[in-house]
Amino acid sequence: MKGQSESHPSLSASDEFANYELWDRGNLTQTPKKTGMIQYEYLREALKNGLKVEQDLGVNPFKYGMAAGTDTHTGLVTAEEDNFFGKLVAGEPAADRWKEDALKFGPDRIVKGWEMTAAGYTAVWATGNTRAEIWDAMKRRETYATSGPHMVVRFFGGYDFTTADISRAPAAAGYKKGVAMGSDLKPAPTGKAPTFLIAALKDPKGGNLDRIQIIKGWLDKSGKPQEKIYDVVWGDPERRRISNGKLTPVGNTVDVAHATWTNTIGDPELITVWRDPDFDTTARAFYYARVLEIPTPRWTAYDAAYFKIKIDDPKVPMTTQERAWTSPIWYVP
Amino acid sequence: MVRAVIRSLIREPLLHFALLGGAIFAAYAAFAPVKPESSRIVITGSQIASIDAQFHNTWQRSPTREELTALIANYVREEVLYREGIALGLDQDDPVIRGRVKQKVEILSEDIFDKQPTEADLKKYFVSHGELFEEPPVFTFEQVYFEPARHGAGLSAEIAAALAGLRAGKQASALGDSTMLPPQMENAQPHDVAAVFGDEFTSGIRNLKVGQWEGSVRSSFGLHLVRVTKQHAARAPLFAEVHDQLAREWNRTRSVEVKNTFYRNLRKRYSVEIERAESRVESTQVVAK
Repeated sequence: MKGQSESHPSLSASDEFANYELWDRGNLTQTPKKTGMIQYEYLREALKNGLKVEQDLGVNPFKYGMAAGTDTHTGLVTAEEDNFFGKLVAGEPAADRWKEDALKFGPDRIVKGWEMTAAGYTAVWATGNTRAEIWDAMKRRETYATSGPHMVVRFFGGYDFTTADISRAPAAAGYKKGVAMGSDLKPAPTGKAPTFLIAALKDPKGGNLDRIQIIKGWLDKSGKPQEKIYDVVWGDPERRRISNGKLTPVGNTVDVAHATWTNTIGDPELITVWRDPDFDTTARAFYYARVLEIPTPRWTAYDAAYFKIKIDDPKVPMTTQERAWTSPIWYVP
Repeated sequence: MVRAVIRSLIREPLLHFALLGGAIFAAYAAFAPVKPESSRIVITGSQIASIDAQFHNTWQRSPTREELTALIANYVREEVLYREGIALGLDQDDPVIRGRVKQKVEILSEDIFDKQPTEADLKKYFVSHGELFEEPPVFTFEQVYFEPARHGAGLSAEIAAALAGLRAGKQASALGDSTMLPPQMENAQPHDVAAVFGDEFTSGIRNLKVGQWEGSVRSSFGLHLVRVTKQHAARAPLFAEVHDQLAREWNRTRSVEVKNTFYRNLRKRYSVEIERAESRVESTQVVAK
């Protein structure tokens, strides 16, 4: 509801998708942020700092699993773009909710209705649908977060994954030859780099998939945290490729006026095995996957089409690129 | 010497506190609006039995002597504070207390109707509300997936060949494109199928011939060959099968009706005037019901 906290453009300048549903102007009462605050408020930084703390103190206090929630106070499960019922009862669908003040603590301390995000859910890979098994899965961080879509995402790390493991049941090879999201990699056998088996199936009612990225963070020789984003598999590979480190954008089929889109771009499912090309056996690291959907109408576009209104503020996003984030897999030398 | 002691006493904050406290109590005793109706509290034998019973409900045993003494002391404390609160009028205009009293009156109203429906009542209810008890259809099926983008122009020929292969007994797992979609679902209701394959597929498999590979069926993922091995159509259960649910639903419906009738009858005794709303809700129309 109140934006994502995975990454921030000012911290990850090379991440073209960091600028997504941000709430970064102030705290809950919109007291403006002071310089230097942002770096302690985003997950990727915490994961990076965790490596540093572990090197200095011997323990990593920031081994987080991924989770997302709605923070709604309506009792409704309506976090989709096409059924967004708002955070509070006062924010239920209405022609002018996009321009109302959702929060107001002073003349410059306002959050507008359109800044509300229709999100998100946490998925848990449990061995069964019981309280105990779901708890155990969360304890071992075998979870992923989504901005709303019901995607199926698999992420395994090991040293022996090959393209032969790309199958209809990736988890069979995943658990046998590696560890699942949220775990530590086993020590690296001599001469081997970590390999990852990663797969995503789109939401049957949602947009196709644009790409899967692996985000790696590590400590360099001087003990400084670094990060790098790899596009590892993408839809429409026949017309898209990486040039100058950047993947051809997937395109956009959204008809904002009617709040519709077509799944004529992207793929319904993506799966690959990826080997870290820059692996250093002595450097602490983490890896997590981010799955991006093709652009689809944001809830503001559904509101505009339904209420037949014109949203004339250029700041208001009318499309969104929904996504999922897996818990990291850590490498400890 | 004495003077020095008095002087230091005058400066002593504790003394100020004691004097001030005494003054407040004295003023309260003199000006308290209403005295508690009685200053005598009697804990009767039946009240002790009730305290004992409540304890027993929770702990499955009677309280020990010490526990009972503590429970009675607690009851006395509650009684004292309750009487003082009533004397101060703290029960007035309290939405929680109003709601609770309203609820108790409604429960009284429920008690005035006989809760046992006759068989005739239930049969009549079954006819008028049958759709409430309908069981949704259930499917067991296998599927083989084709992602159109991987096939291009040859798609329909390749699907036709796979269909012929499946009908000739080929293994489903060897055909079609790789996918994480489940190769089969068992005893799944439409809602469950739609959560995995989407709405289009769910309506697509409804009218397939059971027991035979059919297709293709379209989904938001692509195309599928499907063999429905078991299908139970939506079914209206027999009266006897849902007898207990009927009694429960009948009761619920009836209780709402009784509550509303009870209220309407009481409401007739009152005349209600609704004045214009004050302050900021000018535009809100107030409608009397």
